[in-house]
Amino acid sequence: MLPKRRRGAFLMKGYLVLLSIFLALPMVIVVAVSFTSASYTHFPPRGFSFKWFFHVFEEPTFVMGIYNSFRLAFATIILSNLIAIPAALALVRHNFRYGNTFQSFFMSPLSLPMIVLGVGLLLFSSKLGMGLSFWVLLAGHVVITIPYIFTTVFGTYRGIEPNLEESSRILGATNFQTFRYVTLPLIKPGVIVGSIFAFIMSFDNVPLSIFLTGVTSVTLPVAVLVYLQDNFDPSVAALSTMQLFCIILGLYILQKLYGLEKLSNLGG
Amino acid sequence: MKLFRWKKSRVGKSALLLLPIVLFLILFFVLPYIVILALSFLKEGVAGLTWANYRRVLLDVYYFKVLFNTFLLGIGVTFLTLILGYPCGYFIAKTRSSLKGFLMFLVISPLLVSIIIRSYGWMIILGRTGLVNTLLGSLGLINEPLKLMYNWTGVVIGMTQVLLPFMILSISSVIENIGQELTEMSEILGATKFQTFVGVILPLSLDGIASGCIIVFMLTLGSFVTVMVLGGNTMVMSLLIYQQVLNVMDFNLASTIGTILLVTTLIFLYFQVKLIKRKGIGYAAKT
Repeated sequence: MLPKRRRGAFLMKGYLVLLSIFLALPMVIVVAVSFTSASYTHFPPRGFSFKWFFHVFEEPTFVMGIYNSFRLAFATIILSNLIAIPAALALVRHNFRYGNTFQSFFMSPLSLPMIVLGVGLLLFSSKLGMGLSFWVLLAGHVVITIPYIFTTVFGTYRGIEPNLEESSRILGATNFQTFRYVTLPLIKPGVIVGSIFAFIMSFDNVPLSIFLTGVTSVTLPVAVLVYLQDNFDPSVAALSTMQLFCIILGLYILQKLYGLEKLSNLGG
Repeated sequence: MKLFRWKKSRVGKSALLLLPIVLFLILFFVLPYIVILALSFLKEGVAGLTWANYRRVLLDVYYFKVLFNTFLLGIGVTFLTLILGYPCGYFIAKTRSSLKGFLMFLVISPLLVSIIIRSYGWMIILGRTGLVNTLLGSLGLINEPLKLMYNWTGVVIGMTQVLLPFMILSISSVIENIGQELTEMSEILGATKFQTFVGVILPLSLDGIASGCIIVFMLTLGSFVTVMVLGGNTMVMSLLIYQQVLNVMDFNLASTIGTILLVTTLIFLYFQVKLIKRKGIGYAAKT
């Protein structure tokens, strides 16, 4: 029998190991299954092959979904940045009377049920006679990504001394020059991190896209979800492995560029 | 005086910078919710505003059961994430070991991975020929595969894993703010570790527990993908909305359920904002 104190620590370790397995298992298993050579999803996987990775590109809805999702996500982050950055800059440097209210308003798309927004946008756009237009889908994605870009830019800019911009103006730079050559380089880390989060959120979104896409505008997660209703082969595993690889690669590049510890503080 | 006037005019100009985002959000965020709200009070063949849709949702046994099951799922998942997550949140907040970074990575990284991928992973684990059944079968513990998915079991397991990080993060962020002196004092005064935990840490972490529970409950109510992938015939509010819109095309009923979901969320959000105002819970503000 272990002494009481050691027993507690032992229990804690056992629990943490089990919890880690619980958290990581679904992702680990998806990667493992994607290299199977069997024709159905089974665990443990049988054999080793890359065939399901090739199969992903033979499935027309996946290819179309990948193309549409990338196009949508890029358009989303561009528009989201254009709208959110000016607001974040203005709220940091000036004491608006309802500054906090504005801030909560810009963050609120994170908290309200997205599926209701999806239906609302669908019904709203059909009332306007726009139907399933790309622009409505884009607008919805911009709404849900605004909080990420707003909060990271706000956090970054708040940590920057106003003196730098004032010096620039005193030295004769115009407002635009100050923004372009002083402010923008300083807030760049916040913009990049916010954009990456926004990209992921747009790329993975289901509750909006499922209502706002049609056959030709289908996004990847919607295509996968529809595919999973009837099929359970390892091609979805292969697709997921590729997606995981991209996320890890993206985080690695971020880490190299800025250091993750610094980035995780930006959200505050 | 001159400086003052310069500043004042700049505030006026800066307000223009807020204009695009405010207009955009009113048009594509506030208005769609108002459309939903309005449609929930309309019914085909009925002139003017009516409570008929609400009466139908709340009095019909089937719809009421869906609402009831959704709330039950929310409570169940919230309870499970709390029980499973609290010790981990405590450990992350208190430990000085190198495990902390690793655990933080494990907790945060799932948040970046698509919910579809994670739910699909659970399909491979819980399915008829999945990991659990293969394992138990080869150990001779079961003769027939257990039915672990396409039912509530699968949904609860999947949702718990998907939402656990939110609970762990809100608990650890609150425990981290409890002063080291308090626990030390309690131990100097002769309390055992357990007594210190029950008498000092647990009461002081109640805000983190409350905030984590509210976040998990709200996210469970609105969740969609996990139920669709792992649920089979299980029905929750969000899925019912989806069905009413795309299959039945009853937009008024869908709007009614949507409004109930929205109002419930707003009520919980109100309590969460109150919590944040009281204690300044860092993480809660972000989610």
